[in-house]
Amino acid sequence: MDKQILCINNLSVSFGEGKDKVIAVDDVSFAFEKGRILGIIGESGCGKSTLTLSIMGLLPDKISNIENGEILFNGNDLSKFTEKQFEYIRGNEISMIFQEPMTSLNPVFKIGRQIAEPLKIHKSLYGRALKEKVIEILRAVHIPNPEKVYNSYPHNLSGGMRQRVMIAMALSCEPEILIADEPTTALDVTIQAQILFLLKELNNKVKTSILFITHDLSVVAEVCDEVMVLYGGKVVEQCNVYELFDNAKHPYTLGLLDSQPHRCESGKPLKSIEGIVPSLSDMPSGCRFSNRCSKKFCIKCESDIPPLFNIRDNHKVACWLYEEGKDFD
Amino acid sequence: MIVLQKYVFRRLIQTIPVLIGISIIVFILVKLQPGDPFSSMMDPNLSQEMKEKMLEQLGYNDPILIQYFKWLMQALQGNLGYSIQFKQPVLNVIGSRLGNTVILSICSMILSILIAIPCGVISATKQFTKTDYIVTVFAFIGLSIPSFFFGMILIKVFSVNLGWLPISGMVTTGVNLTGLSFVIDVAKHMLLPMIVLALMNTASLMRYTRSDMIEILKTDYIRTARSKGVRKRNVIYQHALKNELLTLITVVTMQIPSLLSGALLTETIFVWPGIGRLNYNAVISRDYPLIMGIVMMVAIISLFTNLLADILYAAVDKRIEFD
Amino acid sequence: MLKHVILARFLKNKLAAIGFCLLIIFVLAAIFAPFLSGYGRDTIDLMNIESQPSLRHLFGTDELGRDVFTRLLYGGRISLGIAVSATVLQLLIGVTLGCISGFYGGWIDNAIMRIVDTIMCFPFFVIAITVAALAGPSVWNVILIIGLLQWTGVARIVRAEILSIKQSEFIEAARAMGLNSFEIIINHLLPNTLSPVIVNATLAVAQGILMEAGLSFLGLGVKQPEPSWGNILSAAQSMRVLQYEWWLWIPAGVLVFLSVLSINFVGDGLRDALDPKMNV
Repeated sequence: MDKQILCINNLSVSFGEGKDKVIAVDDVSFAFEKGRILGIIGESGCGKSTLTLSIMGLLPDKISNIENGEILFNGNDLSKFTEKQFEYIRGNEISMIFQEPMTSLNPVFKIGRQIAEPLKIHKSLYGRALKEKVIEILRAVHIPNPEKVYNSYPHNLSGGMRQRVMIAMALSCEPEILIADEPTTALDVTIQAQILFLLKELNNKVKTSILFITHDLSVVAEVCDEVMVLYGGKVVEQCNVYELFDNAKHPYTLGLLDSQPHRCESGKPLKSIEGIVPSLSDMPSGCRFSNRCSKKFCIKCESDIPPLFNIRDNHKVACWLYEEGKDFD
Repeated sequence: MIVLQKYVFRRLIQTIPVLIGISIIVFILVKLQPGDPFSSMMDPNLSQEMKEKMLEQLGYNDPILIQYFKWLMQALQGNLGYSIQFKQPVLNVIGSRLGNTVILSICSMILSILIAIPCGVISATKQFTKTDYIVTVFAFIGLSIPSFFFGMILIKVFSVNLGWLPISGMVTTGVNLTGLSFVIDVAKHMLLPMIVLALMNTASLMRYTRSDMIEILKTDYIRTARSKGVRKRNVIYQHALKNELLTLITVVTMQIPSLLSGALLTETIFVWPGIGRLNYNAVISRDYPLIMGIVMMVAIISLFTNLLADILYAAVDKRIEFD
Repeated sequence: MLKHVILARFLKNKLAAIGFCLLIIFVLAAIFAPFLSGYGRDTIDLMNIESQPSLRHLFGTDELGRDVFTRLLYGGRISLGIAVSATVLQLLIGVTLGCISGFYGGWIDNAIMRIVDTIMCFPFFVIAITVAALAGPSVWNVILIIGLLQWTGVARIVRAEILSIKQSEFIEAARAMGLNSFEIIINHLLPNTLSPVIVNATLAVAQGILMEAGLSFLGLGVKQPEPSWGNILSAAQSMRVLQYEWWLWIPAGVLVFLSVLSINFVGDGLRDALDPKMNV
């Protein structure tokens, strides 16, 4: 319990107002332990980015709204934080890296300056000490020729290098949590492997807890300790990574696992989950997955939203099949 | 950097046909003027025989194509004819007034920038609030008032009714001021024309800054800056603004030709002795050589300003683009 | 369906809606000028030269005893009429050349673009007064000057749109269906350029009003006795009028200002309403 670094309770986030309002994150709860890598899986539009942006307070505040719930970090509720309070935390205690390294760095500032910035703001480093620290960090993320890169501009670097710079920037102040929002999606497979390796290495050495968002199950297998599956803004399954691949229970998770190409027998057509993700304003009543679920078995599936049921130690599923005590499967 | 040089070279090559085009158009205008353009190409103090010799040299009896080339040759050597009003070479007359327009234009441009950029930035950061609304409406008003009307209202209020500022001219006549008092005198005379000249450019610069800043504030790299814990003020005034200023350089450069156009009306109303007023007077007195000379001069200045703007844009863009 | 969305977005923009109403008033006033005033355009009232606004003459009389209000109404016809005609001329030239330039590319494109560059080197008033000096001031000359100098903007816009559409495959599909170049241009390319052209045209009318006003003010546009807001304003060049006889020039200036302002509001509203990138 005291190893929990982030605790999200019943968080709901909406966009828009009146009849245009949609709930992007619906009653999500999870606890995140220090030093672990938690993977959040889901397709586009399932709410994973919204979830992480709300932790950082980076949602556009005119159109978004935290309806409910709390984000507990270090004894504080981030959902109630002011911009000033967030400015203290961002880059310092919680950092984030994004999906598009090509556009995530300011084109008119040198790399050195951009990495030095959080150190200047949060650690009050200046002058030579600052520059040395930046070079050290560049080395830690395995960037060759750090002195040269220090004086370069983003457009002089490749995508993989830029992502390393992003990681360097994010980890410069040794935050407790790093949120990685699909950091390798836009990169080449070989570069992807390097970045994942780097992240694991940093998690190992510095014990930074990582919240890893992805839609790619192979990445999950590679990197994560624990996993949370999101669908339509709700958590549908939560367990550790071994459980996920060996013993997944939710029909959506099973569908995701089955549709991986390597799971398919040669000569047979690739499996996919029937139907498409409904838009947030068009969600079916009852279980969100009900209109695509092959294991739908009772009326409750279409009328009531299933809560998360405990199957075994730390393995939760939101499916009526696994209602407490029963196992209809 | 090599790519940039190639681009500059290509653009320079492209200016050649335009220069030729400008010269052709001016030549056509010269030919269209009533009377004989050739006599005005010569110093009026020359003797009659000299004049007749020169006429031959200038192509009086030649077919039109030769006339064009001879005229072009003269122009390239700096002979744009002799002003009928002033009885001096056109280039000299223009030269004596050009400086006044330049001073007025530069001060006007500085005023524009000082007002437009902060307003545009504030408007963008407070999008959809009352402040934004007011700034936007002001910008629209600035774009919609005819500059000469605005000028006359200012004259009426500040010069005639209140008597705070002089009505016209560049210096107070009859007094011979030097040093600081001279500068102050000129400044007093320049204040109103400067404001009027700046009006339209300020308004459009304000709107441009606003829309550009709004786009910049939506970018990924601004999100990154925020995620690092950079204070909101610094996100806007360091991270966003530097990107904005780089593109503004091009926009401001491109406004220079419109300053020359606007100067015509402004200088006329305020009797400011620059090439705008010179142009107007020349038209009124049908001083054709002077008119054509000014047209040519202004066109060439515009050409090189546009060229400069394009090159600056490419130079800035190189940083934003990745090869 | 799409038209309704665009209309809704347009009306939501308060400024655009106000501008539109104002504009309608101006246009109607210009069209129905003879019915709105009891006086003739040039009717002289020698008993009331340069008289202040009164119940008899809403905006007073000018130096020849003509009713200013009437002159403003007819002036509106001329000023607005010139601006609209010049815009139509601009569109005819600009859209045609822009299309040809964008569609055919190659040396034609190059040639037309160099011509565009050349014309754009001549700032409007400088060349306009030169041409006015040579050709003499008149309503037609003003229309021609504005139209022939300002087509470059819309030509570039049309060309840019066509260049971006040309890449797309539906042009190839059209060719495959056997359409010839002319048909492709008219039926497929042009409709896509409509939105930016409409916005440009609206704003061009506003520019036209300002340009005519400037030219006429300088005495190089519309010549008396034909009234235009510009040449009515030129009365203010006299210090006496400027100081003491506000009704001779301020109303005209305000009318120019309001008409240009309302057109700018409308044009801006149209631009936002027609922009496909705007999220609703």
